[in-house]
Amino acid sequence: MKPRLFRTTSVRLATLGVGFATLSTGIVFAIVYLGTLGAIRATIDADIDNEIAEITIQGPTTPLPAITAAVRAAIAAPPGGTFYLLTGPTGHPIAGNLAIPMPRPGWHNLTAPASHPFAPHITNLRARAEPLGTTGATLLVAENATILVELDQLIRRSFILAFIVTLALGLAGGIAFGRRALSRIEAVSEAGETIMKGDLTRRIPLSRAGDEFDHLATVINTMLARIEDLMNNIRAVGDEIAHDLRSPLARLRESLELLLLDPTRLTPARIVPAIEDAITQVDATLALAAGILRLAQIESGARRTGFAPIDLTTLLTEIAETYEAVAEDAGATLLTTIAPNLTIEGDATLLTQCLANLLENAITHGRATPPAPSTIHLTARSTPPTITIAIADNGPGIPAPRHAEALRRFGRLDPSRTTTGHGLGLPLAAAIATLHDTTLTLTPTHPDSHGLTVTLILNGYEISG
Amino acid sequence: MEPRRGLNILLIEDDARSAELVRAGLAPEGHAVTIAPDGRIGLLRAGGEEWDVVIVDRMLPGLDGLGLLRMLRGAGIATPVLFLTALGGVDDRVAGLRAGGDDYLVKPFAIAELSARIAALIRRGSTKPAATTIRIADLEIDRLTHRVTRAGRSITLKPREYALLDYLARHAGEVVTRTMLLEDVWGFHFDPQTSVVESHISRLRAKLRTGPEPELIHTIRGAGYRLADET
Repeated sequence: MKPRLFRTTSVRLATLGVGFATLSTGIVFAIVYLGTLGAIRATIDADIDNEIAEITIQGPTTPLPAITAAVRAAIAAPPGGTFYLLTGPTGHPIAGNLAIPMPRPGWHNLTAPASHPFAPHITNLRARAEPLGTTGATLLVAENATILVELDQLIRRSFILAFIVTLALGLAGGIAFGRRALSRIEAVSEAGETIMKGDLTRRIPLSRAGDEFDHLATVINTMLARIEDLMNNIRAVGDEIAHDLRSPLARLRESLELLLLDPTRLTPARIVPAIEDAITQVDATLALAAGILRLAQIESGARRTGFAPIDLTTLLTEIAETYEAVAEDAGATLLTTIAPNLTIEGDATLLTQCLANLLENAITHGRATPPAPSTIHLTARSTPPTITIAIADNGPGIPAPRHAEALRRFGRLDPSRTTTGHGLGLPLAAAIATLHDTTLTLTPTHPDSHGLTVTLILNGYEISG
Repeated sequence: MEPRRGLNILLIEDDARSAELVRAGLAPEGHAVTIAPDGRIGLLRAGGEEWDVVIVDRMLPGLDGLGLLRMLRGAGIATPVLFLTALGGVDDRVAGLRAGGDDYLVKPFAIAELSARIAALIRRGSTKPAATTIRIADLEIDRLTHRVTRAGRSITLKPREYALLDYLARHAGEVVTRTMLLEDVWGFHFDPQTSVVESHISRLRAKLRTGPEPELIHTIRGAGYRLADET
């Protein structure tokens, strides 16, 4: 399912952001609104209180005629936007410049009547109706409060405008980010789908931004490269296994069929060696299969858990002693120079196999051309912070361009495949080296490119004796 | 060589053909092989009856070999157990031995190999602590000082040669296979492509027999070697 824009995290986050921005704007506006209007109203109210106090100069006992005179005097004063209304006990107007019915005592917000003197500039009034003690009359003083209404409207409009702008910008930003994220994710999923359909070479495009998407894409691309490697490996190994297993099996089938072709030859004297021969061929095939499995197991890296400190000097000495005899029987001499007290961290079983494979390789394939004597030199020395192990033969060597091939699976350099060995010796050694965070290097032993030296540089140390 | 008593062996193996091959292969040795076709039946029979050796396949229907062995050992049954398995990795081997297996044989195997390992298991279970001196005919091995003499003549052996002789001597009269030697003397859990065992056996033979003395290390065709006085 393809993600829709309005369900993307970016848009959801943007919406949430807009919500919070609106809320905070609203709160700010509310504070400004209430504060401003409150302050202005307080000023107006103070003016009104002041006015009432001036008119009722003698307090509650001020006689009505004195009040009436004061109201008339105030009206006659230069116009200041203040309105008066004095009504008698029955509610009839006695004096004033505001023709409205007297409201109940207390504070009021009034709409100015159309008939008042400053229409239409003054639309709203703030008024206080005050009963005048024992006289039964009521005095109303009103001030121009149009500004309150105007401010109110101004603030409301500003808020709505700010809200719309916030909303619009927030949503637009969210959508833009969402689109961008979506297009990046779209690229990832598109690449994923292509890969699932079988194109393992496909990678996720990187932007130049170096953002978190690029970081993620780089990780995924690295993973994809590794998967592609593994898949290619599996494919190649599959082909190679098929080829390598098929040849001996085909030979086996032929020899068995040959036996059947002439039933007169089916005497015990012929059958027993034929069966023995068949078992030998099957065993060779099985050994090859076992080698392939072992290589796969080592390459998976699972053995790293078995790492422990190894007394490399002893391990090398024992292997050397073992292969001195083998080399001698094969007409070669194994010389050793092993430094004392070498220690490394690793898997002893696998390192033993690695070194055994390298020595066997040298013994089998590193024969010097007669009459020159075949010599194999095993050296191990401390090269802080590493330990260098080298196995050098004086055989025909391997031309440099074919070194990589020699380390590859089934990279047997003899195309007729008639030499002994299943061609997994060097690759197994290389895989074990990789497991120990190092690589095998192949170099010619002699300057004239004769001989092969395999060097293995391991992280290790020399115990000071 | 002394005649070997026929053993009572329980084979827990789901593959009928494999099981039959083991039964037929061990019959000439006089061993009676009873077959249990799955893990549960195997566990019941292994726990309920007396056996000399139990052979267990690692991958079984019902209850797998490792689990079976853990339960067996948990129940205090100490019958020697040999694992048969198609899982040949070093880790698989360690897991098998850790679960309480006494030996581990990777399929496919030669019957001679299985037979030799069964013999070794039985012997391991029955012998007293290894003697400090082993004598075979006129050969004497002092296991404390690693001194070897034949008819009073001192023989100098290299460490590997001594280890090889010591192993053969501890299994005197039994067939030891090439794989057993590689695993136990050399610690090689892989199949070398060169004649490691053969080279050392021939050197050891040459050092043990300089004159007309009888040969002590015998090659058993298709199986391995046996150190014995067969005069």
